[in-house]
Amino acid sequence: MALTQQELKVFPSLRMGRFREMSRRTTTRRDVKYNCIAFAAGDTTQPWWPPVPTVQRFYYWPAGIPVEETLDAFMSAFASLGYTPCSSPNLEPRIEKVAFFVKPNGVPGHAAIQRENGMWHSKLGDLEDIEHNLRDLECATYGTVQAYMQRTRRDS
Amino acid sequence: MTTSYELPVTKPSTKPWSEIWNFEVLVPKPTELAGNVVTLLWPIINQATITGRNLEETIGDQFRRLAEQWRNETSMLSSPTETILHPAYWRIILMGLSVVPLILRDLRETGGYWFFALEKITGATPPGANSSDLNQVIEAWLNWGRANEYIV
Repeated sequence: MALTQQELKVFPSLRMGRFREMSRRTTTRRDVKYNCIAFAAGDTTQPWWPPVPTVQRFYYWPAGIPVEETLDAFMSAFASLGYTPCSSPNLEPRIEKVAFFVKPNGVPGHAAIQRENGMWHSKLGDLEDIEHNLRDLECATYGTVQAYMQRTRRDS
Repeated sequence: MTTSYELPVTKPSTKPWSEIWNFEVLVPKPTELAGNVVTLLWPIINQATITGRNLEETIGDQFRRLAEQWRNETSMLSSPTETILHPAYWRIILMGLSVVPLILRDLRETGGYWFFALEKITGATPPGANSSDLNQVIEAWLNWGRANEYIV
């Protein structure tokens, strides 16, 4: 299944032709195997989120990281992977960057990882993985880009 | 002198849900009723006739609308908190036992976090429902649905 018009409505800036689907659902079942945070962290085996009651057993969260839905906690989780804060989303040789989207209430809504071609790569919740311009995913659901982190690319 | 009354004991139905939901309340045709007024009002009466099948459709339509809203507005989310606290999800929970067969059907077709609603509505904890593997949890609930004749 490709992204539907209904799903695309959530992202007012995401226009046809300005993003590329990198994966495609093969069934109507929701793909909750991993989420955007896990994907940005390079883990496609399990979803990442600070444990919340009732569904905590399905989610991974690094040990020792504050269990709270805040940008600081999410950045701490990525710091445990070797990322350090940076100020720019610009492409730099041999540097891997992650961008965090945060909603007005301070809760992180999304994370995207930069590809070597300068485009950004995201897992959209239970939906597809897409390649996109960073700010095209800014919306009420995800919030706006508020922070970046970087580390040396592992394959460089 | 005091009189004691025994409260009637209602046994749970052993019929499958499909049979319970297919009952119909029969309303006489207008020709069987006297008076032009009734004949004139027949289209309205007919439209308002409640049958078991209509009841199912009404609940079904409401469920499908809310489930679709929930899916559309949460499928791009990564946050389990927002997914489960979505108002449409809670409206479905408030619909109670009547939507359990519909939830199970949706669970079978689309997967997702229906188990939380099922726990809240039924109070059940099927064997395997506490697994950390979501697919196993889904299968546990589907087995429970079959065993309790919510899935036919």
